[in-house]
Amino acid sequence: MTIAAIEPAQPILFVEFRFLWIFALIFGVNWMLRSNTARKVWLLVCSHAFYGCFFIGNPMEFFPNLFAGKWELLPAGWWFPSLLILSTVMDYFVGLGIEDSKTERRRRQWVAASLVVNLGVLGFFKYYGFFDQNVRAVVAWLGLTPSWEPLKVFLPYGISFYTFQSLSYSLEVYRKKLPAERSFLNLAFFIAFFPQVVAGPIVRAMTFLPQTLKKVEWSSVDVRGCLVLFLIGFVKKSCIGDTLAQVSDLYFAAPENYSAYSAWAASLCYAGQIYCDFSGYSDMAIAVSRLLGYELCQNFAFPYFSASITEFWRRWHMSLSSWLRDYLYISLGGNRGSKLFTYRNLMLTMVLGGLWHGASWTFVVWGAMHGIALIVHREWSRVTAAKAGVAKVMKFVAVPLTLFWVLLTWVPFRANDIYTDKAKASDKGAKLLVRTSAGFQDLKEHELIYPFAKTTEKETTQLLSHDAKANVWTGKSADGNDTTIRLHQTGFELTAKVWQSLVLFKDHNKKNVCGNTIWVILAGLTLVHWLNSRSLLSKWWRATPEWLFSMLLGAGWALALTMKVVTYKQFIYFQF
Amino acid sequence: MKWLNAFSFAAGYSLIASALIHMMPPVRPSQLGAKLDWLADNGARFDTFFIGSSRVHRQTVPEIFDAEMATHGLKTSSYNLAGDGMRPPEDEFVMEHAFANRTAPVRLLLVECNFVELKIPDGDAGTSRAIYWHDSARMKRLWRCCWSSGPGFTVSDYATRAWKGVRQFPAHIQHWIWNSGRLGLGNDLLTATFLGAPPRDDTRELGAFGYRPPKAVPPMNGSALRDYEKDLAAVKKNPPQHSTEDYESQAALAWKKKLAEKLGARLILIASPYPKSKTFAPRDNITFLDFSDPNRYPELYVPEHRRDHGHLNVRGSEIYTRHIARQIAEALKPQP
Repeated sequence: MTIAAIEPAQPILFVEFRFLWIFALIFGVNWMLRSNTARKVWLLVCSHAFYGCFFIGNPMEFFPNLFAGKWELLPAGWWFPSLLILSTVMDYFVGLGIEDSKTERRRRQWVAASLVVNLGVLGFFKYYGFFDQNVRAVVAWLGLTPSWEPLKVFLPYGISFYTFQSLSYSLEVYRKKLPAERSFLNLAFFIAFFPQVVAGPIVRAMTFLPQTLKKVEWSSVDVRGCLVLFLIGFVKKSCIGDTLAQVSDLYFAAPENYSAYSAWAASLCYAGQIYCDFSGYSDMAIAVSRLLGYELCQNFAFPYFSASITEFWRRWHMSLSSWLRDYLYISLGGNRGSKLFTYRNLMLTMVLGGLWHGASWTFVVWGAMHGIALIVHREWSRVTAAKAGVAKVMKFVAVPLTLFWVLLTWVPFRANDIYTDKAKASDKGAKLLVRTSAGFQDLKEHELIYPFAKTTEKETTQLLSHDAKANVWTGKSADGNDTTIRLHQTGFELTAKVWQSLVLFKDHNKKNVCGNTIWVILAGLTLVHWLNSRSLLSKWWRATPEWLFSMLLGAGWALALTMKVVTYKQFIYFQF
Repeated sequence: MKWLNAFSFAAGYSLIASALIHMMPPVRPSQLGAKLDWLADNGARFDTFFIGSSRVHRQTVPEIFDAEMATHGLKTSSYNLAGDGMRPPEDEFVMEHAFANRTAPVRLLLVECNFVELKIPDGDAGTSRAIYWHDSARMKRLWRCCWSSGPGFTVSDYATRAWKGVRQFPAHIQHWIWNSGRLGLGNDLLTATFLGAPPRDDTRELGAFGYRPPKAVPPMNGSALRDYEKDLAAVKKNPPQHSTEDYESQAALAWKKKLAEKLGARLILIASPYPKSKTFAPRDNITFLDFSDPNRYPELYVPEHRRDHGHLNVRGSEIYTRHIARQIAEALKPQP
């Protein structure tokens, strides 16, 4: 059993014990302060400090080095928090500029400035590597050799989220749905508010800024609901998501080593993992925010029970899908045109939505698959609208069919390109420093741990050989079997292999990634999820006396801590 | 009402946590866990135990020790119960558990002499290696250590110690909660049902006597060798001071003495060969084998016998083990 040591330069996760201390301080001081302004100032300072900690590492080392001018000792990307401030300052003046503009042209110029700066910064940090990689591929295809050195660009945590959030403010001011915020404090607080700054939910200025105007009373906080929601989020992330990840990580690292059975088990596990990981984060963010007196928007509503892809997008990452709908799809013209025009807009929205997740062609494919499904569903609904027999059949097959399609789309989403930058053999196994298409991992040399490369105590395994030419690693997996992993394979190669197993039931190997118990666990989780979707588990605890509720909560935490995966695993959406 | 809620929360947590403790096996780090489990079945074979950090685990070889003792007419059967990074109060936990139900006689307890350590090594923090020994008795020891002083303590010493305690103790609370809640153990058991049980550190690999040889590394050279020689020269010039200060470290020692008496064993303390300026020493009358002075044991400090700054290599370990055996044989000789 191992818990990863807390690395000072890593993000602070809500599931970490140290977050409890940090939050206790933030929470305590927040409610001790009498004035609303003082609370906002406190939370703003805490939010920037919280976000800054993601980049500066240990403050006891960082600040002395900074003041001594020892730049070479500062962690890479230590200045990234200033991008958040830049975005805030920019949109503050853009908001005022738009409102004070006399002409429509001037207003447009202001909003264009906001779009150019915000999307420019996002585009550079997120897509430079992708762009460079593709230009190099084209240059190489033309038989030329690229003469320029690639820049190592490190993607700042949360930039996709806060950029969209900040943009929502300028766009709403531009659309005259919201007056420009005259208080810099309020706007800065809205953009930097720590529970959601790194991975959402993407809160709209329209829903958050009004909350900053009035002082919240402690008596209006639904403490019981918040505590339960936080515990649920914790369980989703640490007990379920991270457990399922052990199966999907094993499988997706080398699908060629496993059977079709494994493909199904791992894909379902990944679907569960990504849902629990992201919705767990959202639940905890919402709970933390409510405990401080602020309401964030809901982000998930049982998406895997959707009867169509259209419904799925109304239930999955709701804050992003509604953002894309309101600011991209509608801006492109929405459905105010011909059928083809609408489909073009749908497709563009989903492809760009895919690219928002990551700079890789696999994300483009993921978005395109959802775009196609949305178009097909629209057409299908139109054609079968008046056919009662079809509706009867669809009642039974719609949910599994939607889920199957979503499972297929998760494959390219999960199957990033994998490159090895460095590989180091040790007596405990092999530690492979791997970079994936997610940009920020380049500079941090994020260590992706592979089945035979685990250096944790319980899974010490042995590296056997490395064929440098084919870039194939052979080693002993945790169960003692020989296993091979080919690095430098593209996400498409991985995707193709998994799809072959999922759709054609092709066994790449006879080996199964996990035992049958996983099906029992998945079935149990589905049942609990279904009961919860029918509100059968979500209200009874409200009626219990306070002492009993507290006791049950304590018991719940004791169970959750026992059932959690001890290794702190970063939230998947932190990389976006 | 708030207090009632807090109490109810704690009661609910404790109730389930204690039920889980009884239902589930204890948290065990791979290496030491394997040793403790193995000893539970095979411990009666041994009458001599080495306890301490890697400077014992990888530097005292039971077979060599027993053979050397035999040449002095003393029959021992020794086991290396040490673990990398094991310091007080972790060693207390290991001793308490290894000898909890022991009926067979224990002859010698050879314990490395160290101060109570407040800081959890960075690499171990949050791992089962650091979690498993955090029980209430050890927490009490650590808490006292945060506030304890010593005969020569100045206000500044006391403040430094207290500040260290304030900084380090929350991490111990965290580990204690993890341990008391059997953190992650349920998940390990569940995961084992579909991914199979993870392989454990094999006790055979550790040798039947618990010793694990030092990792093979190239001989010290370059800056590592220069640093070592510089420190060595300093210690040769000013041999390490024996520190009998620090009440809590002495209390920890007294605990070990009491345990040894209960087992009918003789407690022997060892200061490892390691160039440092201060060595913890017993205040009570306990046999103390001090290898910390390079002027007395130059062969243990020559670079050819060192693996690194703090450790001996295989050859150095053999010499060191024989030294220990000879000195113990000497100490066990009936006094005229």
